[in-house]
Amino acid sequence: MKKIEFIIRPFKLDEVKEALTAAGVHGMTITEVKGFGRQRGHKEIYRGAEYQVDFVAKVKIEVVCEDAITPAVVEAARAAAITGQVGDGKIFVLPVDDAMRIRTGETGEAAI
Amino acid sequence: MERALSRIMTAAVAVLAQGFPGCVLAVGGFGLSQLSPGSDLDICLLRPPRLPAEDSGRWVQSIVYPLWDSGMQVDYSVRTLAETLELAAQDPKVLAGLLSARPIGPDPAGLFPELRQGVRRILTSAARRTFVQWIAETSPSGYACIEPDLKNSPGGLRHWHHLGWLAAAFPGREGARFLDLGVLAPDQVEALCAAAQTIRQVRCALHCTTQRRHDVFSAELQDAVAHRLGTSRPALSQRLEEAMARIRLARCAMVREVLGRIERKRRPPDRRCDGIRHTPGGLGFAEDPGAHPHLVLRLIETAAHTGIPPNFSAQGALLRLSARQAAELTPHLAVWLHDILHAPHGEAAFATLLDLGLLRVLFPELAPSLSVVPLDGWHRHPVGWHSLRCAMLLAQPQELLHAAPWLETLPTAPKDHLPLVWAGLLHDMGKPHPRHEVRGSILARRLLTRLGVAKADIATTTFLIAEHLTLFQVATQRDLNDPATIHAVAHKVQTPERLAALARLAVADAMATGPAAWNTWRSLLVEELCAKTARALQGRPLRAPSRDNLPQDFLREIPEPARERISSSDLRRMAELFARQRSTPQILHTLAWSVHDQDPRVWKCAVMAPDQPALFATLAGCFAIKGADILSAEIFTTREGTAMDLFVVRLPETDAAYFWPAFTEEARTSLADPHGLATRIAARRKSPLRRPSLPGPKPQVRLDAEKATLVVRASDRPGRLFDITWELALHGVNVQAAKIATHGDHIHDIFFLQQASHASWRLSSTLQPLLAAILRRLQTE
Repeated sequence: MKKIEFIIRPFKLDEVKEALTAAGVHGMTITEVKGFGRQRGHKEIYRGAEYQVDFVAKVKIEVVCEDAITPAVVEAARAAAITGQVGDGKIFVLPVDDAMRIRTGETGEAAI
Repeated sequence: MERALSRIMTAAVAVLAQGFPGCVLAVGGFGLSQLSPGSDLDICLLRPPRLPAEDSGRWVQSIVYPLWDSGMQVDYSVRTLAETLELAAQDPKVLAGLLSARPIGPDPAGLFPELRQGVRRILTSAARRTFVQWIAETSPSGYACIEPDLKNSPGGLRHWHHLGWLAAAFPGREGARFLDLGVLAPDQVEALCAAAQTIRQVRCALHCTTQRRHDVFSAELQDAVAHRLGTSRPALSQRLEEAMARIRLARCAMVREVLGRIERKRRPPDRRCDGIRHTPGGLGFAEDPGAHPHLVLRLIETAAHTGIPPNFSAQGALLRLSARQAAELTPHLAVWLHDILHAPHGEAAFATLLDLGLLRVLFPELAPSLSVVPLDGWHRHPVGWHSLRCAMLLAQPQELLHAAPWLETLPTAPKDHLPLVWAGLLHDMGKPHPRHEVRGSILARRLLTRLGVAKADIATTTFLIAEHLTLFQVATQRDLNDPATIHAVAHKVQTPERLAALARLAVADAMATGPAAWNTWRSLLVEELCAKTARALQGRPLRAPSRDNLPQDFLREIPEPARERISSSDLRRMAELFARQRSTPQILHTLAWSVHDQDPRVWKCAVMAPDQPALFATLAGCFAIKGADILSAEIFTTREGTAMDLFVVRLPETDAAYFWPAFTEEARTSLADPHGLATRIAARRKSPLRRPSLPGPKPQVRLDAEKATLVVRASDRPGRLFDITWELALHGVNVQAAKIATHGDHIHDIFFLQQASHASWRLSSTLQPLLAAILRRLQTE
């Protein structure tokens, strides 16, 4: 099993969600996050008043899926999230040792 | 269930306490026989003073340990009577506990009657005022919540207990029960008892549902609790809200009543003013409001300005206001409401309107939406309270602007607050309709028309209501880097004023909704959308250049066009130069860096110096005399009067390491003697070593007197820029800003001019001679 974290632009959430569902992902956790990568964040100036916008608003999607579908899930999300501009986000893939559904006690892939 | 539980636990404790030489007291909810399934047992063991300490310990073990072992949560204390009274005189919390105390089992030493007498003595002493003040401040009034804490939220059981404690401290009636005090009419007593009963019922059902002590009526549990009580969630929520409102109001009036009576000697007697009576218990009616309905508005208005709430009798009279009487008030309502929302205690006065249900009577159009409880995970308050919070944030915007300071940086502040405040109050009146913003704007139009609000204000208000979701929806669901997104919003709002008003409404709505709707993440997005939309409405580029890590003093000084036109990396270098210039402001400083594009001879050079006439011409001349070609230049002047120029130049075929120090030295010298520089340039032109120039097209010079701009197109020559700017300087014209560009062998320069004397261009007699002089220079090889 793999845990995949997608850091994407907020307005891409619906598209990515649909793409993940179509790729066989059954559940996901979504968090509103802020951060910066190479895009750096930015500062804006209006009417001479300067204020700092250090971080850029992003959405983080976390999913856990079977190893077999991981490449397809990653590719589907990437295709949905891409705009080609700086700031499109990141995808992280992490190994997962085990999982358990609290209600039933099922473990492993049956629990996801 | 409460009584049954209390009886069982009383019997159990009585059995365990058999033979105890002192007195076992049930205190708190146990003392009031109001135990819910998850309640703690609060017990006080009054021990005789001569009971040895080890014997006390044994009694604690025999009474408390079995209760703990059976899974009960027991809070206990062991004290002598004297210790208890001493502590009660010092600690209002202990005193409050003792007011609800009752003995369990025998009291062989007769401690309990002595305790009651002692408590009574405390309540007639100076400690009474401290006690009442503590009650007033312990749990301040607040907003109705969608997920109330049945014990600790405003109007919860804690407030109900406050009523009992305040009655016990009532001057002249010390130790009395609240319901026996006679300050309330019988129907008010009945309604209050029913309200407390409702809250206790819901609490019992909640404890039974969760199987533990859980006093927060969470959204996820509300259906199950309603089902357990044989009703529906919306009906139960409304009943609970009304019950808590009654208790909130009664507590507020009771605190005022008791404090007022304690301080009566220090206060003036009752005052009457315009049909309103100021009494110790709050504001009352001096005349029958049934016969004079306008007194209702006057009383609430007085409350909003003075912070004094209605007393018990006024509350009763307000509750009896009929729809017919309310209809008589219609012509005054718009102005009255506006006045209340802007008054210093407007929020509390408006909350009283909501708690009394008076808003439904005065504005029947609002009635269907006021009690809507949106269980969407976003809202913290029912619609009525949410709308009040939103309107208050807009009417008194300090908190709003503190939370979102960028609202003030939008180009235009809303001109008139009236439509904005109306929109805040009415924006959700379309709920629970699925398109409530559309429905709300229709209903608002009807209501505002009935109230006689001006047509222009109605139009703005209904626009704001119809679009109040737009900014957050677009900000979180659309691509803010897509110009089409921004232009669509700009098209919708049309003007900067409407954008500013809509932004304020959106932020106030989000803040009033709760932390899920208003957080830095969402603020960031909507801020970006508003800033870009504002720029689109002004016809400016959507994004200002990045300003990472630039010093504040530098940002303050540089003019806005510089921020717009100079790249972020160049600005950083200029900031570095600015810091140097600050340390020795009287001399010229330069900083050059290779652009390393295609041509290694192309460099950028920032120059800063105190501004003076012919400065730009001198710099251009210095480049010319050193053999460098100016490809482009941006010149600015800081607010302090420092010239801040950025040149792109092509160096002669010399080592840059030697060129730049030589240039800086030349510039510093020439600034002291610009005419000497002009003479040297003229001599250089006559040099036989000078490479002849090819003939170019006829130069074009255009001067726009309205815009104070000079546009020059001509073939490029060494020192060409110097020629133009020197001529301008000779005619007493300053170059305020300039954009210098070289395209192949041609120059295209734009100068933004200012006359040294600041005289009007129209009146100036220098224009034609200036144009002629520049043309002459450009045509001379």
